[in-house]
Amino acid sequence: MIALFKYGYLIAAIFIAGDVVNTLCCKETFKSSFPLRFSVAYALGTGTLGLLIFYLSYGGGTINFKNTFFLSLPFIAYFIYATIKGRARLHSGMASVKPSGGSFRNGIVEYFFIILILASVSIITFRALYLPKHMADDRAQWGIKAKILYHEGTIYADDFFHPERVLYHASYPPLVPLLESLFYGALETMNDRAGKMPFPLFFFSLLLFFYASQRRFATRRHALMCTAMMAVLPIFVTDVHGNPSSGYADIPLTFYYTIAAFSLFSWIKDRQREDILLATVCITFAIFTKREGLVLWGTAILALLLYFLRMHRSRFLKKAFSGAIFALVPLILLIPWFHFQSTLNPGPWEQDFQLPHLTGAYLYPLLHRVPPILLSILNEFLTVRSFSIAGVIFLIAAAASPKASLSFPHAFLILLPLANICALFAAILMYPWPWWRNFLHDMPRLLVVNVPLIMYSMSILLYRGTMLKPFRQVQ
Amino acid sequence: MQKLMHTLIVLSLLIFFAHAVYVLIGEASAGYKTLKTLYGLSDTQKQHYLIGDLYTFADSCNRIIPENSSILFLSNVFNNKSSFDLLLNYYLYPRKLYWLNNTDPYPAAPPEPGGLDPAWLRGRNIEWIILRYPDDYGVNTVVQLERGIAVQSFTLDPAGGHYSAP
Repeated sequence: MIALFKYGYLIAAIFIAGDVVNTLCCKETFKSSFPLRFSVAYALGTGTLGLLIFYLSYGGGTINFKNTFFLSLPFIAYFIYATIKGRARLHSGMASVKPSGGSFRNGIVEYFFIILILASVSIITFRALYLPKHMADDRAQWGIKAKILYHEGTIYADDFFHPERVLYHASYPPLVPLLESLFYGALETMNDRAGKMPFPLFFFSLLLFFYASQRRFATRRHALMCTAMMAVLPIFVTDVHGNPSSGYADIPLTFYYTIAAFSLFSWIKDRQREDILLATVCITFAIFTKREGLVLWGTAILALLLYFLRMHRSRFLKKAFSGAIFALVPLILLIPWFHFQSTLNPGPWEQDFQLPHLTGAYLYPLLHRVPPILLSILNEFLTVRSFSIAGVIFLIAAAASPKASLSFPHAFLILLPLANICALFAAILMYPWPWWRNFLHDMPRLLVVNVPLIMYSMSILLYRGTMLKPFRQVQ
Repeated sequence: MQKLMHTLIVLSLLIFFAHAVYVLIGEASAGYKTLKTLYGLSDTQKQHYLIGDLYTFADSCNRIIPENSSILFLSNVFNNKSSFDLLLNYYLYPRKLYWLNNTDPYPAAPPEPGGLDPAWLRGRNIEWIILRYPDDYGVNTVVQLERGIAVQSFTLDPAGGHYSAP
């Protein structure tokens, strides 16, 4: 009973901590609808508590429920204070998800989309909470680290440092194992299913954020349609590597990255300080979730630079400061992690690729990999296996409005996935080990981080074009 | 042109949602079947059902080897996709699994008796060895060491979950 109470407290503490960080950093966002507030609170809560626990352990503290409780107390105290003062109100924004009024036919379409979303979330939640971990990396990579962090109570566990210890990717970012270990700590047992609690919440929050982002420009029905489209993609719904119920880090990474990328896009459009702050914080969490986070951060900076190059000098100077925040703050916040990572000693077979590899002599023998990698990427986007026909719909929508899709700021949404896919292509091409073909097998989960961006871009193009008039009429 | 695009989009969306319903129904019925099969089973029984031989093997090892022990894992079975040793490591924890050599973690043949360096074993507190050479040598054995010398061994039946001491 006490364990269940602690478990419930931990979930509440995550949301409250996130909500308070949201209030302090992004005052405008705090006043927004329930879907936006819920999803951003979950992102900021998981990231903030995870990072604070890491700082604590880096400074010699113990990772356990007691310390998590004390770390979350200031957030809870502020939340109670703000509630009494009337600053933190739970908005009734959820009403915006209800079907709109009007004819029964209008309502039934929206009910259909809601049913699809609920069915998808239910299937994922059932699989996450009923089945033990049964994929590969959820146990071999992330799960074992969570067990070590819970059992040893520190990031300095011998297991991470000993070169002959059976463990791989010990130097990978620890946010996901840290979160899992907090749930183990609350229940005081290394329970597979209890540790998977955060994952369906990541997916649900991703859908809510995706919906709320579309509501900035689109009608409820249009936003619901595109959210339903994303919710039912086979990559999310089927029980494959990296799906939201599996305990992989791909969905948390996708979630943090989506918030960062959408916020950057909004910042380019509307120049709100809150957007660049939210983007900076969330890209920091993305870097702290998976190594790919660093690449995503790098491609986002490149896309921003491209945008800056097109600007007039006077405007550039105004924006450069915010751009510098996005480029520098994640590095500062993650100094302890980078330092700790540098003390680890990964096995020689973990070296992915190094800068000296960028020579003709190294690359030429690897060129035979180009056709299978390209085919694998195309296969994922143009067949129904992982992304249904969402890729095809996106291409039709882009072809229908080529000017709109290729001009800034919209081009930003297309540039980012393109740059990410190029980076993935290069990483597989230059991978120095014979098991590079595993990446082709894992292609769906490696590409999934780009899905919300492509779907968002598609949503804008479908809405701005005149292609779906009936979906523009009901607010 | 605009009309053609409109038709194409509407058609694609219809196909998309028809496929989505098909996938969801397939996944929901698969979930229902799983629920029916696993209903009432304990977590351990679910793991036996879902994970199979690997879990059965790990379960046998867990029954033999005390918690917080250090174990040397010797095997020539390298399967990058199934990652047997990494998954075994997950199920044996808090028992600590070690490779003999992380640059060559899968030695082709099991070492000769007395072929392991006692100082190396002592340095890692290793008191147990898991030998897994199922194909070439028919060996699935857990060996207990005392001061680097084998004092007891257990032969495992990976599929049945049984083990026997000689």
